[in-house]
Amino acid sequence: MTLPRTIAVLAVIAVTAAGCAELDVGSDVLWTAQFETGSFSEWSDVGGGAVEVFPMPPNIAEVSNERPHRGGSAAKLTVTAPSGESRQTAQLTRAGGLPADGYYSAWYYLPVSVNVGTYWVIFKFRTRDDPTDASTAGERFDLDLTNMGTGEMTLRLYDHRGGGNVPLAAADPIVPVGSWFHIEAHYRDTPEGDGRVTYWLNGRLLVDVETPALRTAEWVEWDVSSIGENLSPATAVLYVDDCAVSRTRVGPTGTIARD
Amino acid sequence: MILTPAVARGGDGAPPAPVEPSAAIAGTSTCPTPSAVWTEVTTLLPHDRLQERLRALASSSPLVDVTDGGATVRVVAAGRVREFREEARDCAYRARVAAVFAALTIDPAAIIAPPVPPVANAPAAPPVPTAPPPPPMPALVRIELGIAVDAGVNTSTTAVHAGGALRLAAGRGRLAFVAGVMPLLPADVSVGGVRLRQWRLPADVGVRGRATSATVEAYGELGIAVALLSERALDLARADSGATVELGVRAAVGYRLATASRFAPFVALQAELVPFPPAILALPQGVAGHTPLLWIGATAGVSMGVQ
Repeated sequence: MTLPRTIAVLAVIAVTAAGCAELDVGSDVLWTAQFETGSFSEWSDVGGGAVEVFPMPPNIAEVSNERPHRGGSAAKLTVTAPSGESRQTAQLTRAGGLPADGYYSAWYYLPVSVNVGTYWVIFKFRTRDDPTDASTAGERFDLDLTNMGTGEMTLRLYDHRGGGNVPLAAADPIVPVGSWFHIEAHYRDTPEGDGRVTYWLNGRLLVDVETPALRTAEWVEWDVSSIGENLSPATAVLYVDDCAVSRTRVGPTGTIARD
Repeated sequence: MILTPAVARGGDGAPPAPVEPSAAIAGTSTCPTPSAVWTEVTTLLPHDRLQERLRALASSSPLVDVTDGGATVRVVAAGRVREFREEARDCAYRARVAAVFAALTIDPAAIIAPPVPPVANAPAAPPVPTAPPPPPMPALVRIELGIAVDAGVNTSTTAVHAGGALRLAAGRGRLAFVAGVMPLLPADVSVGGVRLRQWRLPADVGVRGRATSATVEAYGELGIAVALLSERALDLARADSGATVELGVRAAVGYRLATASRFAPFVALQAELVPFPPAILALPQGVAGHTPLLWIGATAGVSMGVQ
């Protein structure tokens, strides 16, 4: 190879390498669950993490490759909540060790439309007065799937402190059936009493509400759940994937892990 | 012909009597005659000096004897004999030659080193025009040291770095090889909402073209730039740092004062285009953005010429 050709080849390599240069400077993502291990270890192997299913059977939580959002696996939460039965639960939970000011997000897939008779909670926050005393735990916000008059599925936010639904910024947002949708919440609870919760559905603002702090212990429990009562059909399946806790907003286009 | 320095001395306080020509130069020669020789001697030696020397050499017989030998002339002076051939019998010429012999005998120092006329009486010589000095040869190498600022213009916040600059230009012609390095201090920037501490070390090689006037040298540069770039996240939950190499094209213009000294101040403006700026990756944004596509800066300092 002649010298000029060698120089040209080296120059092309250098320019190509420079063109592909990427600088990974870190991450604001604190924790993820992508289920690519084929298990719930991402939940169960961290302090306060658990998979809770009761009663079991008939309710089931499993890792499935039937309908992954990204990668090859997703969580499949199945509850059977016929009319007249009490609450049915299949949930992935992280209790404690979470930021009191953080962004919590997950992808959901609803294969069929479900008629919600009483409630169907899919995204939940709980807090404690005393982080070391589980008996001081209290429910805070439930994001529920429900139905519109047109039969389409939508969301509502229930405030346990206020004892009622919080008006949404966008009335009756449509939750897609048969396609993945992204729910993200910015939960901020501070001792200074300037707490705030904000929810997005597929990146669009769902609700933004001030929440004067009642819990100053900065203890948070976050549940990705399928907690239902009086559903029709009684057996409801919900797929969950790519759950994340982040210091900054992820959004539907965000990246929670390196490929 | 016999020349005898018969000296007549004056009385007390009176000036001495002048020496008679016949007392100094004598002989039977008619070509030249002793008087003609004397006349020539008086043109060779100043009168006072001649009288002084003749009195100092005073003797009983004439000092010089001139004999005409037809085709030759024989001169006897103070016992030394000089004879020269002159067949044309040019008496004036013979007198001048014989006078030289006589003057050499009377006052050898005066003949060898005749007195220089007083300068004050000589007309002032016109000044000799001197050629203008040749223009100084341009320095073979110029070393430039200065302070620099460099700003990246397409980040969310403009990154302004300050630092130093060291450049070297080699060549005396209108074109010169040039190379430089610009160590810059870190600066805080924001790329896609990700705050970073950015550090950059650009270097370049290229060609400098220059035009020089009496007072200033203007130059332009074009070359290839390479920069070591380091980025460190400032406030991510997991803050990492990374480094890479940028490749680009650099252009600059500058001015340097054309001084007689080896040192001269200079100023320059430079721009560097990085066609493929590195991407900044941060989760959860993914590709938060890219480092600057264009860098613009200025340098000022001192240039030193080395021959």
